[in-house]
Amino acid sequence: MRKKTKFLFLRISVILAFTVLAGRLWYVQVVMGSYYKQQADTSKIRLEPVQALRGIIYDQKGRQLVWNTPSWNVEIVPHGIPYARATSIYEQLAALLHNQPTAAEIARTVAANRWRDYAPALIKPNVSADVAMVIKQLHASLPGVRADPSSVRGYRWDPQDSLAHLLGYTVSIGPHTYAADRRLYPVEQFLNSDQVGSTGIEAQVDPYLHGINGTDQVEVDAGERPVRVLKKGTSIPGDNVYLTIDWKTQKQVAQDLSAALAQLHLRKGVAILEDVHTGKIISMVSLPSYNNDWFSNGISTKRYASLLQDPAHPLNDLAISGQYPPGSTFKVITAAAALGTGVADVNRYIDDTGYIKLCSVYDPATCRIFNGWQPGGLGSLNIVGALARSSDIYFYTVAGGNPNKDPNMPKIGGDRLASYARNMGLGSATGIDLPGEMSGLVPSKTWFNHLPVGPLRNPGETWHIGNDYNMAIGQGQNLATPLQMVNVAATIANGGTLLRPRVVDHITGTVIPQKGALRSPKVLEPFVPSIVRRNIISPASLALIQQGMHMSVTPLPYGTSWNVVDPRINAAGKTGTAEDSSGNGTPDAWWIGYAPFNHPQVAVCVLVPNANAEGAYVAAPIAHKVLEDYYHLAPLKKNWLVDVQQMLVPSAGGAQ
Amino acid sequence: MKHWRNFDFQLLGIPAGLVMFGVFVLFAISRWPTSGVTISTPLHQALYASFGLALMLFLTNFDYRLLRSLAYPLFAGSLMLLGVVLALGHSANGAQRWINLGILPLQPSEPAKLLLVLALAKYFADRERTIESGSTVMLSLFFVLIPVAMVLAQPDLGTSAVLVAIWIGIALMAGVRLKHMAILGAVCAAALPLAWIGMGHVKRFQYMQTRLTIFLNPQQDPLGAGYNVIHSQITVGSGGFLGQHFQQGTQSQLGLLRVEDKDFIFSVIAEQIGFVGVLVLFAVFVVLLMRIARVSFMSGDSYGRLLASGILSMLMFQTFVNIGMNLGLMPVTGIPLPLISYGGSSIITTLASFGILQSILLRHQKLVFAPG
Repeated sequence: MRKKTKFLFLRISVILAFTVLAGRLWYVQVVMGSYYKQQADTSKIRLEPVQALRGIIYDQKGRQLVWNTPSWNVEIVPHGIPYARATSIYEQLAALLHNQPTAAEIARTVAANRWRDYAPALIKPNVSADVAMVIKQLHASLPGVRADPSSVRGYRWDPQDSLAHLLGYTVSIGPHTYAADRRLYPVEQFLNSDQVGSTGIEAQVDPYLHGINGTDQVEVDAGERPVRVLKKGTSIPGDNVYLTIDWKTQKQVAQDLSAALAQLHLRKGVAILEDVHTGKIISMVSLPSYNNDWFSNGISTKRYASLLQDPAHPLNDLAISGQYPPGSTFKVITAAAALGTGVADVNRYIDDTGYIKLCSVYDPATCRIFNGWQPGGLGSLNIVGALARSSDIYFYTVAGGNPNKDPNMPKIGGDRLASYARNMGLGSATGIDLPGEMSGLVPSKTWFNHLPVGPLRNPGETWHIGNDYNMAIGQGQNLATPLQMVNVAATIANGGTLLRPRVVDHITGTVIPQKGALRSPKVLEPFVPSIVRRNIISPASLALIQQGMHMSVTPLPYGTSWNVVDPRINAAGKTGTAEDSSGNGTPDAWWIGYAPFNHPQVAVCVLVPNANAEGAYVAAPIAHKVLEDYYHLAPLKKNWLVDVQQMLVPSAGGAQ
Repeated sequence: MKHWRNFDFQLLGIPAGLVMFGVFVLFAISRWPTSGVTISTPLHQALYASFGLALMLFLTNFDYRLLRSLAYPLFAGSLMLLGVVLALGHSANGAQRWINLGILPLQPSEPAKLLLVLALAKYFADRERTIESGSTVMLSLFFVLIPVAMVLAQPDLGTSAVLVAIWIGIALMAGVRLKHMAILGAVCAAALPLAWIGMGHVKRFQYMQTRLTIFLNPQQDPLGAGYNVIHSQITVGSGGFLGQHFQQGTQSQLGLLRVEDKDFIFSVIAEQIGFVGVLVLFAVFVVLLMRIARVSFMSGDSYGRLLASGILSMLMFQTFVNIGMNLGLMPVTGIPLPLISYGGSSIITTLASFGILQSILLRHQKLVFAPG
């Protein structure tokens, strides 16, 4: 070919190609235009979402803790609502649903869902089968309105609702949140009628529990109701979650704690059992609780308001979010600091005379008296005896010294004590796999002196020896959660390894969050003990602290944990009675410890906030019963509740 | 010699105008709540396009004859990149086509098209004397078969077809004998049934077979594989004579069409601007392609002539196949609409090729006599 011919050929082929395209375009847009336009308007094949079943939650032994119960959702496909009849349809539907929601609310929901005109918008979850059947029969007068099968969560129940805080609950996303938060709930993964975890485990591992929704190809009628399924899409159920919790122990612990609280005419209480070697939480009860089925069935505003207004705040999980002064249970940390810094050793004896009187060096007439809990004093004690008998005087002296006796006496001091407390996991969240954990507070000299003047610090006030004293016995600004304290007990029991406590043992299934699904199920998240810090306390110090805690569990009149004495269990522990640092509550009763002393397995923490009673009288007998529950032992005493007494705490002085 | 007065402003203005139109359409799509396209799509596209324009200006100034000596190393580099995609590229829409470079997910098959043009143009320009021999033709096939094999393995049927189209365009313009072309065509036709059977047996190629059968009968799976074939036509069709003018409630806003920012952007455009509007768009494309043909005609040497015809066949084939698949004329193959579809690698490569065209134009006159 000559050059000119070639270019003619090039030009002709360009013209030819676009002539072909233009011809086809003419056919599609002009000749067939009205046909396709009609197809667009009347295309009655829809992709119908199929909700995936949520994963199931089991306890440690494989007992099922939640169920998916079949239910009916009332939904509206906005496209199916004839414009002229919209108001009357909404009114008719609202009447059927007893004005929950009202016609105006339905109209708002439909408007919020207009951006996905063909997708069903959730109007009311979990209606009765009767209502669903009526809606199905009224399809002629209620175009666009549908009753679709779905499922709601049902939770294992016991009289104390002991699992509510742990499991949490789910709520429907709903068209409003769905439209507003497209980043959080992408349309490819979530339906507006999907249940998503709101608190507890349901929220914590929601991506695993959620599953993968499928899509059916469905033919719909003029009212956007499915007439027949053309092609079934597969949905993939969510993964199953196995907890470290033992449901039977949990139930029993809740029952005992509840009985003890009833005896005391109190409502709040916490009891936790933790495996000392792995950090697995065996039981974690926080009372008062609530029924999580109320939420999954769509809680009424009235009931929700009453939960929020309850002064005992049943929605709060005190075990992980309750922050209280740890009181004398903190003495195990002071003991570790005293031994670790060399301020004390087994041979250092301090005479507990019942009080320390400190007078100003400038004005000997200005004195302040720091009392121990035993007015007459406990006599001369070394660290083992001081822990066993909970000597305030001993721990005041090692923490802050006693300048009236000897200005150069060695002391731990506020900053060093704080760093030991932080090493033991106080002052920061433990990292348990539950939402809403609080971190507590560890004061220190440096921290205090840099505080702005406010409720915690007066103008001109600096950290002084009294702050050392208060801190040594877990008072002052000290705050800890029961979970942190049970973890302290576990750390002492296991030989000085701080573990991250966990409630999820493992997760099995096929759904990998954000990735997709496997062909066959497998263990996706196996439990691996997670170590935060090792060798926190030297073995020699640890042995003395363990001995002190063991000596605490001795009969009256020696140790303070006489209520836990039981040769079958052979526990070690520490009582605590903490004055409310805010000054407007009554003292809290604590007991932390572990068992058995020789081969520790389980750590315990019991807290009765605002018990207005000694830990020895209130928390210790509950802790004993909790340990009996754990070992499935018959009660040592027929009527153990008699031991639970409200021995009012004297207004001044230290604490056991 | 470089003469800026030979700069073709139409070859700058038309691509720039089409890119801006594409960004506008992407912006309009991102405003529709049903689409999965967010505002970042048009913004990214504008960013990629400005990078492409910069590269275009650079290549305008760069003597295309130097590309002749760089052609083979560049082509080898693009083969290596294709190898990297196969080795570690990650999956998008069931195919491995991307290398993630952070800001720009690089799709090496896009630059590979242009680099194949450079290499083939050099190959044929170097062999003007032996162009009528069979061995020259046979050897040239290696240039195209290696990248075709690598792109097919991704698997990407559309891009492989573009590579073959580039070869046909350059070979014809270089003067390969029609008899040779006919023999090759016959061999391919004979191999088709074998390839068809082979496709059915290898899992990653089955999708191609599905797409080809669905093209013939989309109603076979109206909401699965045939979905886009049906919905793109419904979308185009409901545009009618005058279009919907980007108003509310149109077919493309229902969220029924998929990949509306890439492969099926033409359907969205056709629905919105209608038959009359699309004819104007076609006219713009025809003018643009004619201008490219003019570059080929004007070129002072055979390398420039073959470069321009390679670029022409690359862009024409892609435009034709993309629009054809939106109109149900061609099977769905995932080829972007040049200058308009969303995609950084595609837009940068296309704009770069316009730079090369300008470079050829600026240098086509060896001597210029000063006026007067």
